[in-house]
Amino acid sequence: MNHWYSVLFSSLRIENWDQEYTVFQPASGKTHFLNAMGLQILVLLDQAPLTLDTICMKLAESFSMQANTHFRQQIAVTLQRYEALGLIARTWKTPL
Amino acid sequence: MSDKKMQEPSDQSLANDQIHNTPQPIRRKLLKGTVAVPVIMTLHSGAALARTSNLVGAAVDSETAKIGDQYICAHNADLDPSGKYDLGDSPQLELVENVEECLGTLDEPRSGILISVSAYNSLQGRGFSTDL
Repeated sequence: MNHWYSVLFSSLRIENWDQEYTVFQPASGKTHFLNAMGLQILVLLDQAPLTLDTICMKLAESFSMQANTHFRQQIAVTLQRYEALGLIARTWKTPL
Repeated sequence: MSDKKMQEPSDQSLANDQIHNTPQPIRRKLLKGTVAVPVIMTLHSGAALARTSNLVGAAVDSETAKIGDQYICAHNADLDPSGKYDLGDSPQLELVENVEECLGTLDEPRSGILISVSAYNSLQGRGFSTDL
Protein backbone atom coordinates (compact mmCIF):
# COMPACT_ATOMS: atom_id res chain seq x y z
CA MET A 1 0.00 0.00 0.00
CA ASN A 2 1.38 3.41 -0.89
CA HIS A 3 2.30 5.99 1.67
CA TRP A 4 1.65 9.68 1.21
CA TYR A 5 4.03 12.38 2.36
CA SER A 6 4.18 16.14 2.12
CA VAL A 7 6.49 17.89 -0.31
CA LEU A 8 8.36 20.99 0.85
CA PHE A 9 5.85 21.63 3.61
CA SER A 10 8.28 23.97 5.35
CA SER A 11 8.37 26.22 2.30
CA LEU A 12 4.62 26.83 2.41
CA ARG A 13 3.40 30.16 3.75
CA ILE A 14 0.32 29.40 5.80
CA GLU A 15 -2.01 31.99 7.28
CA ASN A 16 -4.97 31.26 9.53
CA TRP A 17 -8.10 33.28 8.81
CA ASP A 18 -10.52 32.14 11.51
CA GLN A 19 -10.24 28.44 10.71
CA GLU A 20 -9.82 29.08 7.00
CA TYR A 21 -6.32 28.92 5.66
CA THR A 22 -4.47 30.49 2.80
CA VAL A 23 -1.47 28.49 1.72
CA PHE A 24 1.03 30.09 -0.62
CA GLN A 25 3.15 27.55 -2.45
CA PRO A 26 6.33 29.29 -3.62
CA ALA A 27 7.34 26.40 -5.87
CA SER A 28 4.29 26.89 -8.09
CA GLY A 29 3.41 30.49 -7.30
CA LYS A 30 -0.12 29.36 -6.45
CA THR A 31 -2.24 30.24 -3.47
CA HIS A 32 -4.58 27.61 -2.07
CA PHE A 33 -7.61 28.17 0.14
CA LEU A 34 -8.15 25.31 2.58
CA ASN A 35 -10.55 24.54 5.36
CA ALA A 36 -9.40 23.02 8.63
CA MET A 37 -9.56 19.44 7.41
CA GLY A 38 -7.76 20.30 4.20
CA LEU A 39 -4.87 21.75 6.16
CA GLN A 40 -4.91 18.95 8.70
CA ILE A 41 -4.09 16.47 5.94
CA LEU A 42 -0.99 18.43 5.00
CA VAL A 43 0.07 18.74 8.63
CA LEU A 44 -0.37 15.01 9.23
CA LEU A 45 1.66 14.14 6.15
CA ASP A 46 4.40 16.50 7.22
CA GLN A 47 4.75 14.63 10.49
CA ALA A 48 5.03 11.19 8.92
CA PRO A 49 4.24 9.37 5.69
CA LEU A 50 0.82 7.77 6.03
CA THR A 51 -1.46 5.42 4.16
CA LEU A 52 -4.92 6.46 3.08
CA ASP A 53 -6.49 4.34 5.81
CA THR A 54 -4.35 5.89 8.51
CA ILE A 55 -5.09 9.40 7.28
CA CYS A 56 -8.82 8.67 7.36
CA MET A 57 -8.57 7.23 10.85
CA LYS A 58 -6.67 10.22 12.20
CA LEU A 59 -9.00 12.72 10.55
CA ALA A 60 -12.04 10.90 11.87
CA GLU A 61 -10.56 11.12 15.35
CA SER A 62 -9.69 14.79 15.07
CA PHE A 63 -13.04 15.84 13.65
CA SER A 64 -15.21 13.34 15.54
CA MET A 65 -16.48 11.66 12.42
CA GLN A 66 -17.07 8.19 11.08
CA ALA A 67 -14.53 7.03 8.55
CA ASN A 68 -17.02 5.35 6.24
CA THR A 69 -16.55 4.47 2.58
CA HIS A 70 -17.82 7.81 1.33
CA PHE A 71 -15.43 9.68 3.61
CA ARG A 72 -12.57 7.49 2.45
CA GLN A 73 -13.37 8.27 -1.16
CA GLN A 74 -13.39 12.00 -0.48
CA ILE A 75 -10.01 11.82 1.21
CA ALA A 76 -8.62 9.75 -1.66
CA VAL A 77 -9.79 12.35 -4.17
CA THR A 78 -8.27 15.12 -2.06
CA LEU A 79 -4.94 13.31 -1.90
CA GLN A 80 -4.90 12.98 -5.67
CA ARG A 81 -5.68 16.68 -5.99
CA TYR A 82 -2.85 17.56 -3.60
CA GLU A 83 -0.54 15.29 -5.55
CA ALA A 84 -1.46 17.02 -8.82
CA LEU A 85 -0.71 20.37 -7.19
CA GLY A 86 2.68 19.14 -5.98
CA LEU A 87 1.80 19.51 -2.32
CA ILE A 88 2.23 15.82 -1.56
CA ALA A 89 3.68 12.73 -3.18
CA ARG A 90 3.39 9.01 -2.66
CA THR A 91 5.68 6.06 -2.40
CA TRP A 92 5.00 2.38 -2.66
CA LYS A 93 7.81 1.56 -0.27
CA THR A 94 7.39 1.52 3.45
CA PRO A 95 9.41 4.52 4.63
CA LEU A 96 12.34 3.84 6.94
CA MET B 1 -36.81 52.44 30.66
CA SER B 2 -39.91 53.32 28.63
CA ASP B 3 -41.65 50.88 26.28
CA LYS B 4 -40.95 53.18 23.39
CA LYS B 5 -37.31 53.21 24.19
CA MET B 6 -37.19 49.42 24.49
CA GLN B 7 -38.78 49.00 21.08
CA GLU B 8 -36.37 51.27 19.33
CA PRO B 9 -33.23 49.48 18.38
CA SER B 10 -30.07 51.41 18.94
CA ASP B 11 -27.87 52.43 16.10
CA GLN B 12 -25.32 49.96 17.36
CA SER B 13 -27.76 47.02 17.30
CA LEU B 14 -28.94 48.04 13.85
CA ALA B 15 -25.38 48.04 12.68
CA ASN B 16 -24.83 44.60 14.21
CA ASP B 17 -27.98 43.27 12.55
CA GLN B 18 -26.79 44.57 9.23
CA ILE B 19 -23.45 42.93 9.72
CA HIS B 20 -25.04 39.57 10.61
CA ASN B 21 -27.55 39.79 7.78
CA THR B 22 -24.85 40.47 5.20
CA PRO B 23 -24.60 37.38 3.01
CA GLN B 24 -21.28 35.63 3.37
CA PRO B 25 -19.26 35.44 0.23
CA ILE B 26 -19.61 32.08 -1.47
CA ARG B 27 -16.02 31.12 -0.81
CA ARG B 28 -16.38 31.67 2.93
CA LYS B 29 -19.60 29.65 2.99
CA LEU B 30 -17.95 26.80 1.15
CA LEU B 31 -14.93 26.73 3.40
CA LYS B 32 -16.73 27.26 6.69
CA GLY B 33 -19.74 25.10 5.97
CA THR B 34 -17.91 21.94 5.01
CA VAL B 35 -15.66 20.94 7.86
CA ALA B 36 -16.71 17.34 7.27
CA VAL B 37 -14.82 17.20 4.01
CA PRO B 38 -11.48 18.65 3.04
CA VAL B 39 -11.82 21.68 0.79
CA ILE B 40 -9.16 23.14 -1.42
CA MET B 41 -9.44 25.94 -3.93
CA THR B 42 -6.48 27.21 -5.86
CA LEU B 43 -5.72 30.68 -7.08
CA HIS B 44 -3.29 30.57 -9.95
CA SER B 45 -0.61 33.16 -10.04
CA GLY B 46 -1.44 35.89 -12.52
CA ALA B 47 2.21 36.58 -13.03
CA ALA B 48 2.85 32.94 -13.85
CA LEU B 49 0.06 32.93 -16.41
CA ALA B 50 1.38 36.11 -17.96
CA ARG B 51 4.79 34.54 -18.36
CA THR B 52 3.44 31.47 -20.11
CA SER B 53 1.26 33.11 -22.68
CA ASN B 54 1.62 35.95 -25.09
CA LEU B 55 -1.77 36.41 -26.67
CA VAL B 56 -2.12 38.76 -29.60
CA GLY B 57 -4.57 39.33 -32.38
CA ALA B 58 -3.52 39.24 -35.98
CA ALA B 59 -3.17 42.63 -37.62
CA VAL B 60 -6.43 43.70 -39.21
CA ASP B 61 -4.55 44.80 -42.32
CA SER B 62 -0.96 44.75 -43.45
CA GLU B 63 -0.53 48.49 -43.07
CA THR B 64 -0.93 48.30 -39.26
CA ALA B 65 1.91 45.73 -39.19
CA LYS B 66 4.29 47.93 -41.08
CA ILE B 67 7.46 49.38 -39.65
CA GLY B 68 9.13 51.47 -42.33
CA ASP B 69 9.01 49.33 -45.44
CA GLN B 70 8.83 46.03 -43.58
CA TYR B 71 6.17 44.00 -41.85
CA ILE B 72 6.20 42.44 -38.37
CA CYS B 73 5.75 38.71 -38.66
CA ALA B 74 5.19 36.32 -35.72
CA HIS B 75 5.97 32.63 -36.15
CA ASN B 76 4.68 29.54 -34.38
CA ALA B 77 1.41 31.20 -33.45
CA ASP B 78 -1.20 28.84 -32.08
CA LEU B 79 -4.79 29.92 -32.51
CA ASP B 80 -6.50 30.15 -29.12
CA PRO B 81 -10.18 29.18 -28.77
CA SER B 82 -10.88 32.82 -27.98
CA GLY B 83 -9.70 33.79 -31.44
CA LYS B 84 -6.36 35.15 -30.22
CA TYR B 85 -2.97 33.81 -31.18
CA ASP B 86 -0.67 32.48 -28.48
CA LEU B 87 2.96 33.18 -29.32
CA GLY B 88 4.23 31.04 -26.42
CA ASP B 89 6.96 31.78 -23.91
CA SER B 90 9.45 33.14 -26.41
CA PRO B 91 7.74 34.80 -29.33
CA GLN B 92 9.65 34.48 -32.59
CA LEU B 93 9.33 37.69 -34.55
CA GLU B 94 10.99 38.88 -37.68
CA LEU B 95 10.67 41.71 -40.16
CA VAL B 96 9.83 40.64 -43.68
CA GLU B 97 9.91 42.56 -46.92
CA ASN B 98 6.71 41.04 -48.31
CA VAL B 99 3.51 39.89 -46.67
CA GLU B 100 3.81 36.59 -48.53
CA GLU B 101 7.03 35.79 -46.67
CA CYS B 102 4.99 35.64 -43.50
CA LEU B 103 1.57 34.45 -44.57
CA GLY B 104 2.52 32.64 -47.74
CA THR B 105 -0.03 32.33 -50.48
CA LEU B 106 -3.23 30.36 -50.88
CA ASP B 107 -1.23 27.59 -52.54
CA GLU B 108 1.60 27.74 -50.05
CA PRO B 109 0.38 29.11 -46.74
CA ARG B 110 2.92 29.72 -43.96
CA SER B 111 2.52 29.49 -40.23
CA GLY B 112 3.22 33.14 -39.53
CA ILE B 113 0.81 35.95 -38.78
CA LEU B 114 1.20 39.68 -39.16
CA ILE B 115 0.90 41.55 -35.89
CA SER B 116 0.33 45.22 -35.47
CA VAL B 117 2.91 47.68 -34.23
CA SER B 118 0.76 48.10 -31.12
CA ALA B 119 0.82 44.37 -30.44
CA TYR B 120 4.56 44.35 -31.01
CA ASN B 121 5.01 47.14 -28.48
CA SER B 122 2.88 45.30 -25.91
CA LEU B 123 5.10 42.23 -26.22
CA GLN B 124 8.29 44.10 -25.45
CA GLY B 125 9.93 42.87 -22.28
CA ARG B 126 7.93 39.65 -22.29
CA GLY B 127 10.43 37.08 -23.39
CA PHE B 128 11.90 38.26 -26.66
CA SER B 129 14.46 40.66 -27.91
CA THR B 130 13.20 44.01 -29.09
CA ASP B 131 15.86 44.09 -31.79
CA LEU B 132 14.16 42.59 -34.78
